[in-house]
Formats: sequence, structure tokens, C-alpha cells
Amino acid sequence: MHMLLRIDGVSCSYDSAMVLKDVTFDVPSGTLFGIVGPNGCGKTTLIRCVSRVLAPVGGVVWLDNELLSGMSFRDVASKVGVVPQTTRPGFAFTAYEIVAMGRTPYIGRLQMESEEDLAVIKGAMLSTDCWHLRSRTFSELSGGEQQRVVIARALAQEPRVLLLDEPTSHLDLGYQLQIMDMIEGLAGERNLIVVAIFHDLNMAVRYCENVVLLNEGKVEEVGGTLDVLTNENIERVYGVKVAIERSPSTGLVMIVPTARRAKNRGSGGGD
Amino acid sequence: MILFGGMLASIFASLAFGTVGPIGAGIPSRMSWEDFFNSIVAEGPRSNILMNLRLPRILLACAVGAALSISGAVMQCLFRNPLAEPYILGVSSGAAVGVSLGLIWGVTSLLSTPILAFSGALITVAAVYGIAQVRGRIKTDTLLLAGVAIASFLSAVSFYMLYAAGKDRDLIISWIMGSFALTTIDEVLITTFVLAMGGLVVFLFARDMNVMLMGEETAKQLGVDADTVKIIVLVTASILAAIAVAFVGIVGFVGLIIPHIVRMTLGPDNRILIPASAFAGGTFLIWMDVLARTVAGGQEIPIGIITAFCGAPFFIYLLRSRKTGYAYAS
Repeated sequence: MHMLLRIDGVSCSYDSAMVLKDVTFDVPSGTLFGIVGPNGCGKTTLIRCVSRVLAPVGGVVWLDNELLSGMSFRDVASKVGVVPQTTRPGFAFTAYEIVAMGRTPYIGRLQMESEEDLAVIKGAMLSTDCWHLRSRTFSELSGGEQQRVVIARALAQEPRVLLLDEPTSHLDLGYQLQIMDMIEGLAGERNLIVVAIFHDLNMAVRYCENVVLLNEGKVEEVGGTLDVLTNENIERVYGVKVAIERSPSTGLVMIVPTARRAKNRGSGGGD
Repeated sequence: MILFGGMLASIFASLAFGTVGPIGAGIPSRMSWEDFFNSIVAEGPRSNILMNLRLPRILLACAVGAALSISGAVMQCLFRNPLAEPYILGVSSGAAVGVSLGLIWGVTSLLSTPILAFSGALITVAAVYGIAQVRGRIKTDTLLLAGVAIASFLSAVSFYMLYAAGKDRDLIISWIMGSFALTTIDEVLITTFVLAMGGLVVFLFARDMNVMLMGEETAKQLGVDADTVKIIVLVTASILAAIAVAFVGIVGFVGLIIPHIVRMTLGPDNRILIPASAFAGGTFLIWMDVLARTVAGGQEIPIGIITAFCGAPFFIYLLRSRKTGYAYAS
């Protein structure tokens, strides 16, 4: 069965400056959906809206037929897991303790983790290949290991939606592919709705079936990745001329920047 | 459990230290252990000293140590900073100003003193928090610096108020540096009651506080209503710090060092850290008070001198080992 995340006319503001304006699109389950756009276009804000950390000033977010906007933090957390750009826990928690925090929405104030909770934690860590790291201190792990632990934490929430904010931006080439392959696999196996922010357009082209291109808080275009990431769209939004080529040897599509457009880009706010 | 047992044993053992008792200066002559045990059960002048004078101060030292340690553990956790604690953040000094006002106005009942202390502490924590908040986010550096500035300002205020009101110098000193002398059993009961209530509230939110160590945004995404939890727990921690000050004065550094020592040995999980800090803090302050009343012969040393003597070097050690020590988020 296909599920659907529906962003319906969402507008958002910080200190009266509108960051998102009437953003509308649907995300299907089972494949990766990318959010792309220049710095300050509202990508991270959109993720904060869907995870209900930020209340939209207009519009709503639907998950199937349920309204996510207006649910308690606890209820949202049992449906939506988030992998932030960076994770820096205060004090020295072990990888296991970090993943166990994913069970927070399921455990009552005076309860300990049940057998089922422990099984879910172990399952999540096995599926991101970090069970062997469980007793290591989180801050001493490498970037790729940390990211696997944090993804396991999100999986331990047993979410239907997984939101990732530039999941590979701090990782080396090997880890980038490892993490993205893993996420792609999880989306298929668990029929998850996966929404990920990308700065690297080539990562979006490689892994996403659909993307939304944001510009200054508005949807520029949404649809199939290569239909959205065209020369014209990229030049208009990023101010960069690109060549989009299919490599004859690998068959992969590559977006190669060729020149910066002379005209200055409008300056955006913080990302 | 071991820590709890250690605390109970310390309550009993520390009873033996002092001018009247089997261990200590011995005036006029040292008490035998047999006499000591007899005095605990039987009536008599010695029993009066042990049970009505010494036992209350031991119990109060224990309760104050526990309250300060819980308060420190909570503040370090909420502000994700190893240096946050009620003394550094000025909360203790705020409570002291409240109590000083009571001393000057002559309002020093068993109820009014804690209430004045709570008021002073809560106003201070709100002020420090307000200063450190920039567009909904807490700047930790500003928080600590504002706390230190406000702490010394408020200490000066309460010092001046007592001085100007012509209070005698010994009282002022014992107040600024803390003292357990002349503790009554009623003070012990009130402090213990507030400690138990506050400790329970904080313990109920221990798991939420663990998650909040990931940052408030992540905590919300994991299902914790971080804003609400923060207010409840911070107010409770301030009340705990205030009750510690109410009858004793300002005792620094306990809230700083005890949670760190416990965290280094037992890990950062608040469900363990909070009760363990309470027991360790209680035990620690019992023995600091033993030092305070025995080191200088028959004369009392303010407890704050003893804790500062042990706490300040540890504070410096922490500053130096921030990079190499166990991991902190700044």
C-alpha cells in the first residue's frame, strides 16, 4: 500500500520574515524524495515544519488521512523520524543509549524499556550496521558511524516518515554512498516516506525519484528529478550555468557547473 | 544502593566526630565509644549535644548537599554545560538576598524564610535566563557570564544589606560562607520535605532530560515537549537551590563537583545520575561539615570555606580538561 505525505499550502515565518510561502507538494512512500534549492531557500525550515518543531503560520501537513499539524510532539515522534545535519550530544552517551532515545514516544514516564523496545532498538541498529558499536561513546565514533547511529535512532521511532537534513554533507565519498545506499534500501524494505535535503545535486540525481526545487521559500518546480533539474531551472535558481550529461562509460547523469552567471544572486537568509 | 547505604553510614559515623564524642578534641576528656552509644539512647547533657544539636546539623548538611547536587546536575543538563550550577548562575545569591531581606525586616519564621529564598532564586534565574536568551536560543557563554556577574552583585547586595542593618559580623560571615551551626529539627524537616518533593519532580523528568541533552529541537522531534519540561525542571532546581540556602547561607561548588564525579563514574543517564548525586552530595557535605566543626579545634569554620577549598581546584581542573576530558557539547 502506498502512503502519502501531503504538504498543503504551508507558510512559515521567523520574526515576521516569511521563509516559506504557500508550499504544496505530495511525497509518495517507498522511494527517496529530495528537497533542493540554494542556501536560505527554506529547506531546513520545511523539515522543521513537517516534524512540528515549528508551527506553520498557514497550511497543514497530512500523513495519509491524519493531520500532523496540531498533534502532540509525542504523537508526531511516533510517525516522523528526523536525522539532523549534525548531532552533538551533551555528555558522553553510548551509541546504544542514543538509539534507545528513539523509543521515547513509546515509553511512559515511570516505565523502563520493555522487551519489545529492546528488540526494536537492536533491530534498528542491525539494519544500519551499528550494533557492534553499541557500547562505544558516541562522540568518539567517526562521522559515518555517528550518522548510522542517528539513523538507527530515527528507525527506533518506528516512523512512517524519515526526514534527513543533508545526511551526507559531513561524510567522505565512501560513507556518502554507503549511507545513501542504506537509506535507499530502507525506504524500499520498510515502505518509508523518505524526504532528504541535498546540496549536492548529483546525489539527488543519483538517488531521488522525485525532487522539489525551492527558491526564496516558494516551490519553483516539483516532479521527476531530471524533469525538475534542468539547465534552465538550475541557472534561474542557483545562478549557475551547467551541463547535464550522461556519462558514456557509467550511464550516470552528471550535472557539471560550467560558469557562474554574471548577474548577482539575491541574498537569502540563514539556511 | 551502595551510595544510599554510604550516606546512612555517614550520618551515623559523623555523629562520633566533635568535642563531645569518641573521635575529636575531647573536652574535658575524650568520650569512650561505650559512653557514646549510651548517650545516643539515654537522656542526659551529652545526649542533648549529640541528638539535639549535632544530629540536626548532620541531617541538614545531608539534605542541603543532596539538594545542591540535584540542582547542579539538572542545570548542567538543561544548559548542556559542565559549569552550570546554582552558585555560578547566581541562583544561590538570589536566594540569599531574599533571606537577607527577611533578616532585616525581622521576618524569619520557618515558612517566610524559604518563601523569600524561593522568590529570590526564581527572580534571579529568570533574569539570568532572560539576559542569555537571544531570539529564542540560549547563548551558553552569556548565560555563565551573566550568572557570575549577577552572583557577585547579589552577594554584595545581601552583604551590604546585613552590614548596613548593623548585623554582627559573625552572622554576616557565616551567612555569606554558609554554616550549619544552630540547626533546629524543624529546619531539617522543612528542608527534607522540599528536597523530597523537588527530587521526585526532577526524577520523573529524568528520561526527558536525557533526550534534551541532544538539543531541544531534536528532543521535540523525539517526542519530548522540551519547552514545558525545561520550565518545570528549572523552577524545581531553583527551589532546591533556594531551600539549601534558606537556613544555611551560600555553600558553593557542591552543585558543581558532585554531579561531575558521579557522571564520570556512573555515566550521564539522569535516571541514575540524579539519585546518585543526591546521595553522594549528602555524604560529601556531611563530611565537609565534620571538617568545618573539628579542623580548628572547638571553633567553627564556615562550611563554604571548606567546600571552596576543595571545589575551586576541581573547577580549574575541569576548565583545563575540557578538550581532553569526557565529551561535552558547548
